[in-house]
Amino acid sequence: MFIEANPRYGDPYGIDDDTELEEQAVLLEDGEDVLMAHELTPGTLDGPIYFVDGVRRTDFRAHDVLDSGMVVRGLAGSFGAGAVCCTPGARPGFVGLDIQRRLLWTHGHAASLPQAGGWQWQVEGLASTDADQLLPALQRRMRDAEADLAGELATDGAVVVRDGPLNRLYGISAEVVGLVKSHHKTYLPADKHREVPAILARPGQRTSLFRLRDEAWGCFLRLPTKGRVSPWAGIVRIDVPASGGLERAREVADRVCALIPRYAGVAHTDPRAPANLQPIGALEIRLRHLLGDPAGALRAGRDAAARVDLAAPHTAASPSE
Amino acid sequence: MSNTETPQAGLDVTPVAADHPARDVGVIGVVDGTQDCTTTTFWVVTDPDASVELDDLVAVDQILPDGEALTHYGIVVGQQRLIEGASWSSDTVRVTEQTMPGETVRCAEVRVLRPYPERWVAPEPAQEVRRVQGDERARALFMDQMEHPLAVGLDAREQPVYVDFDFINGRKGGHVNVSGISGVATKTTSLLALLYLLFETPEGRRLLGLYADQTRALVISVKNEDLLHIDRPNRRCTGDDARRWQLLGAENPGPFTDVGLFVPPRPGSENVVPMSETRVQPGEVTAFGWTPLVFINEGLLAYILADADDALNQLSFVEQRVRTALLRWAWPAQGHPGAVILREPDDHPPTSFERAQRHVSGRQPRPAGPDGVLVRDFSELVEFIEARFDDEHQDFVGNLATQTIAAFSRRLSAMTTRLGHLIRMGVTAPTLDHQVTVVDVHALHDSAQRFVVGAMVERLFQEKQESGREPLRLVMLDELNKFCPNHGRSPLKELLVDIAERGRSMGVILLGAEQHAGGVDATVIRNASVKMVGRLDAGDLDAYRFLPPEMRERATLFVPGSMVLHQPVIPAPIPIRIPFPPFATAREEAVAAEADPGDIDPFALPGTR
Repeated sequence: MFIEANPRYGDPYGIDDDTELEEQAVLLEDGEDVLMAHELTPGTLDGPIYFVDGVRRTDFRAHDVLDSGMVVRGLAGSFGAGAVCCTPGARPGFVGLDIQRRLLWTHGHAASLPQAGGWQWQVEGLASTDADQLLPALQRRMRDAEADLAGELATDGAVVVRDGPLNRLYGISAEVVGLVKSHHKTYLPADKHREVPAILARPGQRTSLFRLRDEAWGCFLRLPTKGRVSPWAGIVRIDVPASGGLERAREVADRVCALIPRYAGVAHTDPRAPANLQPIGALEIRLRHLLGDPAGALRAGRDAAARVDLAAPHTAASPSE
Repeated sequence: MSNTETPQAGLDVTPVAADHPARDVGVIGVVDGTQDCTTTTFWVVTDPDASVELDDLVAVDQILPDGEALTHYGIVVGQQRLIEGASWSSDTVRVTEQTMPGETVRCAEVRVLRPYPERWVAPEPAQEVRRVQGDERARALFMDQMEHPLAVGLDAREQPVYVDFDFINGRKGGHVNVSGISGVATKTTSLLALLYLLFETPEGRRLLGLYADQTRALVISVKNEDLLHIDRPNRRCTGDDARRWQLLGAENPGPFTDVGLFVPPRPGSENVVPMSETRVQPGEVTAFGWTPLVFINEGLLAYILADADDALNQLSFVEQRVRTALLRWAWPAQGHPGAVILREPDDHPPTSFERAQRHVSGRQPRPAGPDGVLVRDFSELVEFIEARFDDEHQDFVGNLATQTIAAFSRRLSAMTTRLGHLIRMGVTAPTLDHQVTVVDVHALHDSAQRFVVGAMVERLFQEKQESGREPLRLVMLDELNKFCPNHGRSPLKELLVDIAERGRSMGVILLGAEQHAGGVDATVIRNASVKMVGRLDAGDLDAYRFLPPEMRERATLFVPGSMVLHQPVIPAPIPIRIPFPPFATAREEAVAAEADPGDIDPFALPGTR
């Protein structure tokens, strides 16, 4: 087994994984062809609001040569998921912080690395033979961890804001929404899309809900910005589950959109402000810190690999995926 | 007796204050692995519910690779708290506005006092840190290394802190030095407290041993008459203060029990009348001075020119010549005790002062007459010297230049008004008949103060050179910067430096104090084995390199009664508190109840009034 340094660590999460849908959205809340602003008065917390997010990083890449001479590719990565809990009258705190490490192989390979310096990667052999599928697999595991945590937190009365689009649906009573910062695709008809910045003239306004896909509807929300900014700056998309029907979606969108602007990110401390909310920004810093020292991860990988018994049979195990 | 298993054995007499919760006992946190753990310092991440304060004693255990258990004892010297994750100051505002998370982390800096056993290995990160209590506290403070421990103050949790008396009495080291800004009276109190604990507690007397009754302290009072009251109880000393003294071993805290008080005679008065405004009852105080005979025979003229810069010019040559000439010319005056007859010697005395001293000791009194001048006081003495200068008598003038003689003459005349009243018939130098002798010189001119200090200390030092180290002679001298300044040379300074260097082996122990150690000759400070530092002036910190930086900074904030104790046995200085004294250190503290109850004592310890 051979270990190579990963040329870049600390991939910013979220930019490359907003799994958007191809079909065009349908306007539905205020009638066909109507996209208008909804004025919201700033809400006050009456229960907990959770912000859920995750980070991941490639620790190193690996390859192994099987007895047959075949080369299999591997990727070791660390990911973490967690949440910030804001409750009325209390200092926000971190909850559910969890860090996991995986060594993912192609071809169902299952060679493991012994523990080294406190680092341990859990081995998984993927059915895929394509090394390019390793990083997305790591990403999916992180997203699953986020989704699991959001599910745990989404108890009655709690508001849960997930960073990124909704990839899982929760019970009808939970108010779980997704917050999408980047807008790679246009869902609305081109003319409507162009109008969004103008429609959302003031911070705290949201647009009419539109249909993203069967399970999720969305709206745009303008967060407060300072100074002269580009038209789309400060506009985020809020994804709401569709399973409760239009009235319920409207209720959730109103409630959540009234709460979120208060947490808008601060421009001078976060280049992704205001869309990267303060709790999310702090959570990412904390999670990234908990991933551990990247140089330490590489060193631990090399130390562990040096100890692997090269005489052990190299045969592909049964694939897990 | 000494090895009982009870945790309270011997030392742990004070219960921890009631407001410390029960969880306060035991583990307080873990060694911080993100900061360097060295053999001298480490940090502790303290538990949120642990109450940790500066000066707390803590311990960390580890097992060394060879299997030996090692414990580091340390003292908390600093603390810091911050919100982890907040990287901008404005983040703090957002944390309080409850939009951003942040966790407060509390850390304490610990200075290692002692690795036990003595293996110089750093503490192990992530190890649990526990509070040191009971018998372990004695080990942390090197009590097992002290053959003769003497309690000198209390720590923050009211447990006694000890010094090894062997480092005071001259056996292993000697001398005590106290620094601190004026106005908080801590310096004098701490030195008096030391004397009190030595003389007035069973433990102190046990340390003095066979010589307890012959041990003497000379206390020179330079500021005001406050120290003339230490033989009276302090009416402001509360029951709480008394309890603290009991913790230090004073069974029945009260005044000094064996005190002699000396003050200068009133100037211009025909009879010898003690000059005191606060001790006016007959017999309360004794006037001191030197007769012309003693002045001449002991060569005290040297201390007349005790100004720092006098030694830089030729004046000291004149002084030596005149001093020797007077000695060779002087006979005791018949019918005038203490006065002298000055006449040209006819018995061939030696020309060196020391040898002449032995020669003249056998001289019989002579009557006044045409061949001898009767000198009864300082002005007559000055008159006589001036006349010899006018005669250009070889014994007095020698080959010295006329200008130098004139300068000496001027200096001498100026002294007449400053200390003339101290040199007269009918007075005696302060005698050390009591355990503690207080000599008040505050009302004297600086030159006269230097003269008195020089005259007394010289005699004391001479006496001790001829006997053994014990019984001890403790000399308590405040404002050392005045008597032994950092710059210049003078006979008095040379005497004090000599005591600092050699005195400890002769049992002459200097208990010195000054506002700023930098103003005092470095030899004197360096030779003090035990150093105490009270409140420091922020501008003076350089002179206190024996304190670690954080302690120097902290000493600028000390309240009255707080000191740092530095002694050779313990590598880190220990903050201590001196309880409010049971003996009066001011007139208001001594006089009975009708005194103004409203005047606030700046000296009072917080929480005792």
